[in-house]
Amino acid sequence: MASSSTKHFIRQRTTAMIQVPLSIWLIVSILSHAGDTRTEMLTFVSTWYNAALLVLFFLSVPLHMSIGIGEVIDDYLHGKGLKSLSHMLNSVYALVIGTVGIVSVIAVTLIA
Amino acid sequence: MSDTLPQRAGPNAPLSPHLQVWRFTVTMAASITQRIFGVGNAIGLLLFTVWVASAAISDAAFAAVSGFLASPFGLFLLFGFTLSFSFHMLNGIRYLFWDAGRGFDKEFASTTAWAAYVGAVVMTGLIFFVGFSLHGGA
Repeated sequence: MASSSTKHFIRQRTTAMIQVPLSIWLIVSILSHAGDTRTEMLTFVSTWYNAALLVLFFLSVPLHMSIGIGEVIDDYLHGKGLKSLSHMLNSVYALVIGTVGIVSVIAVTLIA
Repeated sequence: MSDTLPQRAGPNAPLSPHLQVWRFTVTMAASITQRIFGVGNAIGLLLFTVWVASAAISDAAFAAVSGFLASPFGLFLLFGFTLSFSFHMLNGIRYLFWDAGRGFDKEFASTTAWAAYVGAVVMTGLIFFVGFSLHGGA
């Protein structure tokens, strides 16, 4: 079994490769819909492939983010307690972002 | 004899070399910027998530968040997030090529590091130009 560092290395690159095209799609979508009414946004988000890509975004990005910030914590925070507290908050933040994002996308598909 | 043997790392063992011991190079700057902007993106992601959540909540919530994002301070945050994201993505692509064993040549690595900085500024300008042209400003 790969070490956790190797696992992090591979996951960080895999999510990065997913996120390059995904983010470009997201920017193009936001630009072409900026200024939309809420109804127009609900229509966009609830279209099945847009919803699927947004869920993918909210799965991939928090993983990438938590690995990256975890590395920064390991490198620059040295107190044992401070370090473990930071790692915990880092995980909580990623889970909150992912959960709120995915639940919101699902909620929109239900109300639109 | 024993004092010439390698010592086991104790609590006072030196940490990995930090920022201040390196001669400045653009590849090093790009590496530091990648981390700072990665953290910046984590903050920007909160804006995006709150915006998506507001659309799921109510007309009032969506109007409040959209209004905030279109305010001067909101646009300032979005500008920073766009710049931070653009650099992190472009420089991240450099690292993906490195991981594939390409682009390691010293001169080329410096050139692409500069390109990531210039590209991020251009990309941010382009995104805001297109946004304002399509929607006539905030």
